[in-house]
Amino acid sequence: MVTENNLELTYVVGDGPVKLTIIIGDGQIGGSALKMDGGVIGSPGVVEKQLIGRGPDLVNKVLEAKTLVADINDATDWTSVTYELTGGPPQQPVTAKQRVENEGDGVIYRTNFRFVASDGANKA
Amino acid sequence: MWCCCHRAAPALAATLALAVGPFCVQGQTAPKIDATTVDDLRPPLSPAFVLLGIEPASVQQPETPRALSSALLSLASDEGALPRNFALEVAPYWLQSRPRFRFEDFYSPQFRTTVARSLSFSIGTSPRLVSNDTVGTSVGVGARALLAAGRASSTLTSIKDRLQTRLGQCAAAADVEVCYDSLHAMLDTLKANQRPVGFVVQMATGASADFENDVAQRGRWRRFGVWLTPSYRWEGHVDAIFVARYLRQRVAADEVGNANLVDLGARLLWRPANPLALSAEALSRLGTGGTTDAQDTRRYGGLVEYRATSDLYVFYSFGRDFAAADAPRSNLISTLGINVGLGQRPVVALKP
Repeated sequence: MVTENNLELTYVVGDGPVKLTIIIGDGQIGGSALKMDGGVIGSPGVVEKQLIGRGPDLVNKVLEAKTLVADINDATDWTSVTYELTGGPPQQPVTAKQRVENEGDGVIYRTNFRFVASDGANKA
Repeated sequence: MWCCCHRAAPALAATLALAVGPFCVQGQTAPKIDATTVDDLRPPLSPAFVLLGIEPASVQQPETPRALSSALLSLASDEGALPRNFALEVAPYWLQSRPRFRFEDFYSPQFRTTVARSLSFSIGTSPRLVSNDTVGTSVGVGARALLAAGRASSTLTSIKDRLQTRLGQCAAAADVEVCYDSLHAMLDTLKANQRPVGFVVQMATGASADFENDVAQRGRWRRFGVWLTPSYRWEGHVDAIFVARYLRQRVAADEVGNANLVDLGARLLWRPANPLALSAEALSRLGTGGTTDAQDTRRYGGLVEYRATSDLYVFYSFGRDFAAADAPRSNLISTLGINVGLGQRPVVALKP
C-alpha cells in the first residue's frame, strides 16, 4: 500500500543558482522525480545538489518534487524526506514525516516549491 | 551403523547419517553429546530472555515513547507486584523518527552512530519454580549493540542504486501503487542482501535475579553473561567468525554445574559455488567452580554440504566433540548424511 503526503512550500531565491538535495531519512530507501513547467529536471532517483536554475529565472515558477519512499527498515515504521534548497538567503531545511501502517508499505511525498523573489515572500 | 545426528529438527525433517571410515568410535557407551555450536555462542537477540531460559510467546516492542511508558507502567500494576510473564525489547534510538539517518548510515564507520542505532534493551520476568511450585519471580535484563558495522557489499550497493532509480520512476508514474507493487521482488532482494561485509563486532550482556516470594529484600542474582562476536566477511562468500562467551551463575548445593563458564569458538565458512559450502569450526570450553569438577574441553570439526534443492542436501562431516574428548580411545568421527525436508542445518556434533 502507498499512502500520500502532500506539501506546499515557498522558497526565497537570490541571484545565484538554486540547488536541491532530498534526504531520505529513517534508514529507508527512496527515489525522486523533479518537474517544472512541464519539463523533467535531472534523472529519476537520487537528488543530490541538483541544479534547478538561476534564482531570478525561477521567480513565480513551481517545482514539483515527487519522492517515493519504501519502508525497508525493520526497526521503525517512520519514513521521512528532508528538502534542502540552496542559492537564496539561508533557510532551514524542511522535513516531512509519515508512518506506514504495515511493514513494506510505501509513502509518496508530493511537494511543490513556489519560488519567490526576496522582496516579498514567505520563507519555506 | 546408522545414526541420527541432527539436533532439534522439526517434525517434517528427516536426516539420515552414516558413520563411515576408520574414524568411527564403536563399542563404547555413548557419551552425552554437547551440541553447542559457534552459532549458539553468538550474542543473543534478547540477552534477558536467554538468561531467564524463557522464550516468551509475545514480546512487547514499543516504537514510540508513549507505548514504552504504557509497557513500563504495566510492570507496576497488580498492587505493586511484578507481573510474572512480561517480556519487552526496546531500541531507544528508534523511538522517534530519524530524518537525518540515511540508509547508508547502517554501514557507517562512525562508532557513536553504530552503537546508538543498534543498542537495544530487553527485560523479562518469569515465575520462579522450585519443585514445580511457584515461589516468586525471576527477572532478567539485558542489552546488546554493534560496535563495528562493516560496510555495504558491492551487491547491495548495486541493488540500492537500481532501486532508487526505479522508485524515482514510480514516483512520476501515473499509477504509483501499481508501479510500487512491481518493485516488491527488488525490495526483497535488497533486504536479503543487507548483511554487511568487512569487520563487524557485536556485543551483548545481561543478568538475571530470583526474587523469592516476590520480596525485594530476598532478591539474589542468578546469572550474568557477556557475549562478544568479532567477524569478518569477504565479498567472495567467505566468513570468519570468532565468538567469546562468559557466563557466571549461582549454583545451588542440590544443582550440578560450574559457576564460571568461558566458551571460545571460531568458524571459517566458504561458499565456492551457490549449492556448495565448506566450513570448519573449533570450540573450547573452560568451566570452573560450582558443584562439579573443573572442565577444559575442546571440539573441532569440518563440514562439506551440498544443497541439491531447497529442502534436500547431502553432507559429510568429521570432527571430535566435547564428550568424545573425555571418552577413552576416542578419535575422529566422520559421517556422511542426507537431509530431506525442512530440517535445520546439520551441526558438527556427531553421535558415534
